Amino acid sequence: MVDLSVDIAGMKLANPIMTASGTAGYADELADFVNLKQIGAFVTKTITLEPRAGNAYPRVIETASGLVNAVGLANIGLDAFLAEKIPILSELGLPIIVSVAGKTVEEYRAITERLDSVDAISAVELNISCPNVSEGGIQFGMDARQVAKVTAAARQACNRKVLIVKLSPNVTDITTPARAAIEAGADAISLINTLNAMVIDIEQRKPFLANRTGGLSGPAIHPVALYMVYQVCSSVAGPAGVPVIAMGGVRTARDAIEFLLAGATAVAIGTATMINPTCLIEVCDGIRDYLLEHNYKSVREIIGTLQDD
Amino acid sequence: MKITDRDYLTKDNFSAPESKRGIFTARVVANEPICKEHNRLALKVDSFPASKPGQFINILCSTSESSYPRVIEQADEGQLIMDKANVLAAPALLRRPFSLAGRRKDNQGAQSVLEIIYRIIGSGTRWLSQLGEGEQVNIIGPLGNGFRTDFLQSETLAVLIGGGTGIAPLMYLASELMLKGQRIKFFVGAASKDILPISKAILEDKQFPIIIAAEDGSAGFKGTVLQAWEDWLGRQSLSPSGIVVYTCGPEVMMREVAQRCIAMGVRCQVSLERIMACGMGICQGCAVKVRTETPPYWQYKLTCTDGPIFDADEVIWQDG
Repeated sequence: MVDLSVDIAGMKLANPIMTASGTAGYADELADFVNLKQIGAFVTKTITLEPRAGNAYPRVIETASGLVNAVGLANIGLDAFLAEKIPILSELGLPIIVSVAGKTVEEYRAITERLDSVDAISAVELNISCPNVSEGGIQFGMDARQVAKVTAAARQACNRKVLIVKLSPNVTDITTPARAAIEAGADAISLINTLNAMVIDIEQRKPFLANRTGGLSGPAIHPVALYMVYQVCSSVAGPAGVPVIAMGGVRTARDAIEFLLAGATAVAIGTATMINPTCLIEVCDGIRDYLLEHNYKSVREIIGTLQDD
Repeated sequence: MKITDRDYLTKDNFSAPESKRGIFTARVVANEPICKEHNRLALKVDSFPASKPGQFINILCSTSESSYPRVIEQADEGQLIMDKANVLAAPALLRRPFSLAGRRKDNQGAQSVLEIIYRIIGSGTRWLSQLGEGEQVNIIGPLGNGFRTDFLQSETLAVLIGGGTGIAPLMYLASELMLKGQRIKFFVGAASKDILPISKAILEDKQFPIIIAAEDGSAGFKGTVLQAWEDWLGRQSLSPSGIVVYTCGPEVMMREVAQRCIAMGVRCQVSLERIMACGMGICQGCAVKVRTETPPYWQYKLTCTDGPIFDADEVIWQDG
């Protein structure tokens, strides 16, 4: 038997595979397609204090090996989430990680405070990296001082849950916001969110998405994500002993194993879940096959074991 | 597999205890041109759940790979050759949604054969067009809500108005309604007869209540399907409650049908098309603005799970 379990700041996962925010809804949408009880943890769609209708259509467009989206954090709002979705999510028997966003530092603090007292959840993930909303979101993620402010405010309100900060890749040096988040009290770091992107309709000579610009996800961004995860793990999070949750274009077990070798403790699957929900399980099975084939007893044996020449 | 006369009316007795959706492996039983612009793909699926006209399936239009090391084991020679040939064409990443154009039993009566009609417009449909008989595809379905037929009275005339590729889901609806003995009038239209995605069997069936409109006058009514419908309406004396309209086609066409029906007080359902990434209600990409009773008097619904069939009077149409 291979031990696939990992630990993220005290949060026990049966295996290192989790959903990525915004790509698995509130879990009930996927019930007919995949047994989510078999994954390591579930990360919800980003929740805001008030419901959000989201951006105008079109919101998504495929590009070469990628998906550009500008959904705009459409969600049912915190109250409806707590009343309607928490009961369903708690049936999964998994660590539940709630992704949150706010328009102001105070909103991040307030929503974290409300979630801190909800027994059914294990962690709060601060989405400070959504590129598709006019206020908040990425504005916090692109400035290290703002990253520190938001993280510190949420930290103050977060006493019982693991606090995860999700970084934006749209920065010059990813280690700067990573360091800011860790110094401000993040228990774990997750990266990367989508890369700023756009698509132009050349016949209309107009941006394709109603929001004009969006965020790129999917296999196209995997090597970029891997590079950033490697940088954060090797120069900031690793030395600080802070676990990293890696995401960005994972589609196969090979992609996930790359993240683990680079130093990530867990790996989230996003766009690929929307194409093939069972890929969450298949990637996990593939990691097990890899470990067996290389005679490892635990997945923890390979985390951050990138070999030097 | 060829379509034989009235084969499209063969009853599918599939009755699932519950209407669950799922991921299925399907085998190609036919993939052939149905006209100059459209192909018909017939897929055999074991134990596919009960489906309704108006629902759709989401097809993975590429060879899947998701694990280690099975990827290598599974790759077969034929596929590798194809991949090399298409080295400059990016494979389709997202699944492609297709309305069910029909469903029936295969000759053995054991499995379901699902039909879709498609036009080659990009990498996904090009990949589909290269599938040969016996090859496997991964599908998700049945997705979406389907047309509502519960409000049809026995004497109601169901009017189906389809334009171009939008004829596909109405084919399924037409055959289901005819099986139930419902009176129907099926209007179909295209720029020309030879790009009309209608099977020969139906075209040659004198009993089939179809009115064909070709803008170039190559068949039936010379003009658009809308004009053919208007022309027919002008010669009828129908009470608004006596007919129900179902439409699918270009959005400008459906919008006109919808507005005409609302003006006449006729119940109308439209089948909308929106770009979607998942089809399962997750990506939130396929948003449609619909009217609500309370402020701000509109909300977004999702084409994939709330639709793709909407009541004409709830849709807030896009500009342009």
